[in-house]
Amino acid sequence: MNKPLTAKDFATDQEVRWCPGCGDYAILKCVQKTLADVEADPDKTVFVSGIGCSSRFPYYMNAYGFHTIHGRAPAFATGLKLANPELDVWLVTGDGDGLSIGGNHLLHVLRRNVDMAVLLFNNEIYGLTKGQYSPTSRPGTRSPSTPSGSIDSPVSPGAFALGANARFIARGIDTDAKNLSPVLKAAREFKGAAFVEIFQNCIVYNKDRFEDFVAKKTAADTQIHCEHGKPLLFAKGEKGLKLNTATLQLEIVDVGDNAAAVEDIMVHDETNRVMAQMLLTLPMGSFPMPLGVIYRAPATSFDDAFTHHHPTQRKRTGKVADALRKGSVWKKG
Amino acid sequence: MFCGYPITPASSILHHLSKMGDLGVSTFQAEDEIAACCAAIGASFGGAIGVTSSSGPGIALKTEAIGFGMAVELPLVIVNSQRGGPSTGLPTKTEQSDLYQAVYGRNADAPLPVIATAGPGDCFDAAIEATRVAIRHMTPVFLLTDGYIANAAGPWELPNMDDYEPILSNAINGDASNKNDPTELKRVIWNRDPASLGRPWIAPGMKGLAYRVGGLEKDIETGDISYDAANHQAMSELRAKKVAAVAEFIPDQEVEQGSTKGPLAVVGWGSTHGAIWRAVHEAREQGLDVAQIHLRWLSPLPTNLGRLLGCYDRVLLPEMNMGQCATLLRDKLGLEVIQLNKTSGQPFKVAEILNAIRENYPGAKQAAE
Repeated sequence: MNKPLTAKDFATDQEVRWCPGCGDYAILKCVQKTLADVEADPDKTVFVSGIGCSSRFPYYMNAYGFHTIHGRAPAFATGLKLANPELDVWLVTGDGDGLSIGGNHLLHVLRRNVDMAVLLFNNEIYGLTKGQYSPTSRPGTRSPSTPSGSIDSPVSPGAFALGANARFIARGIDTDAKNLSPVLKAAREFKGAAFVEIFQNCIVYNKDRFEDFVAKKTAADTQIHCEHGKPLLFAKGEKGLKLNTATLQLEIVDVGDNAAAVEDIMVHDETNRVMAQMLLTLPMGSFPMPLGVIYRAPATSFDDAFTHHHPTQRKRTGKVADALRKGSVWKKG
Repeated sequence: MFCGYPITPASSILHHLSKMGDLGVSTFQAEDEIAACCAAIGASFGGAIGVTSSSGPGIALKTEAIGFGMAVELPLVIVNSQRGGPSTGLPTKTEQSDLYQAVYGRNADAPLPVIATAGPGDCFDAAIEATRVAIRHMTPVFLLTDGYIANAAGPWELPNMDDYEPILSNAINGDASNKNDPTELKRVIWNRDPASLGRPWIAPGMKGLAYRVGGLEKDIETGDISYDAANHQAMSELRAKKVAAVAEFIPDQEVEQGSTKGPLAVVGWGSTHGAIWRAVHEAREQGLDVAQIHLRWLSPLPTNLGRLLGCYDRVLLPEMNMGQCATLLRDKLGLEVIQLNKTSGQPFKVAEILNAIRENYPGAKQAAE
């Protein structure tokens, strides 16, 4: 019997060149460990990336890897998946690569529902180019290109994905492998485009940007882990999210003897698009950060449809010589 | 796999191929020109030959991806149905003005093979040759056509498919079975054929050959990221040599009409073939010793071309642009030609070329008197 795979089996001989303390290390480790856990076949696994810190990821994964051009990785990955639907395709991108220069392609890979896991490392900054503000940076972000603070409204990756008609939307935190790993497994198993936003700490240019909800000490109060069929509780079950039917908005309520009953708390239904919309757009700060699989509503994947709608299911049944002799053909002489 | 995006006058390729599923063709209409090119390269990375097509402005959008395809040494065929430009230009009119874009148009030193089809009846063979070169040399290849060809029809003698040499990818040379030495495997993956300089075409799913590649400069032997100065010099030279190597595989330039030396040769490329042929034919019937030479491979040029053109007193080059092939010949062969440029969006008339032959025929004035 083969000995079980370990994270090391998915590491390469390449020196990892992220800054010391970068959240990318933790994500890399988590992905390697997750693939070992599910006994993934490195020969059938492909990591495709664009440009940015996160996009160096494929060099460090002992699998096939394709480090492409800025923002276009979803298009490369789509062509790859269509060419060989048997492959387990992972797309690694960042907030700049995926939502700025590559926003168009991310939109289309999600709405087409091409079968792949899309990992978007969100650090709200351009790290590789030394710290300019990104499309997910919060207003007022001071950076080399915005010395008096950024003025434009950021895009929410999850809300973008939902708007693009993504069928799987999840969130995780770089250093929280315990909760990130199951999300990665679910993304891998999902037949379609599985979008995972990973909050990633850029220790050099945007240090502790997510500390408000990432800090372990206060995590119980600042995070809400969504589980299908379970009430949306946090703060060790002492608080929950309740739908205010008058305003059609979620609100935080205390749960307990003299407060709301557990039955009043909204039960997470991962197939409910309206609920996903509410969870993905909860105001940061005043609400806990929803994490885990927030939305999962399977539909036919593009690569499946691509094969099934093909006149011969992509098999070659005809001959060029015969095809040439169809139509307006005559004999010489 | 064919990946395209709607654009005039190239869309007809997407339309036709989408009806040829039974021949093993898959077509994908991408979200934009860039994505079409990237998806085609993605397909090639996955082991299916990727083909993309467009016209001038769309090709400009694909340019970064084409350079990437070259850097990662993957096969790709890019069909450019040229139209009048610059910018949106004359979408429905014909021109041959993307030759610079095909030969020189990428960031950095990024030479690519470029083949031009001479007419509707030549497209089939030119496409096969483009694909053959792409796979043998593991490089993107430009196939140039234009609005005139895209909308034209002509009688075409159907080929016998058995007459074509099969298109084969390069063999894997070396032993990649030593799991304890990842460098050995890398050397096998980047072990290029000495004649074509093409590497073996290895695709995800192949057992024991997993490798990583990207647009960063790579070590010439292992494919690992390399910023080494001498290596980049060697890689730049390799990329140039690879295109030059194509010349060893393509036929010598032939003379289509007339003799292999003389007072005047008319050199053309692409869709001007028909008008040039007729003009030279008529000039010869009128007693002028004119030769016709029609170029197919524009990058690299056939190895005998410089020698051949040197055997004529004068060379006349009609083309539907402001002199792009003339620049190319000056650049590659140090040869000065007489330019006959037309950019009206209309193809050449036979009379226009015939007049130019008469005017530029050595001793033309005396002959007229």
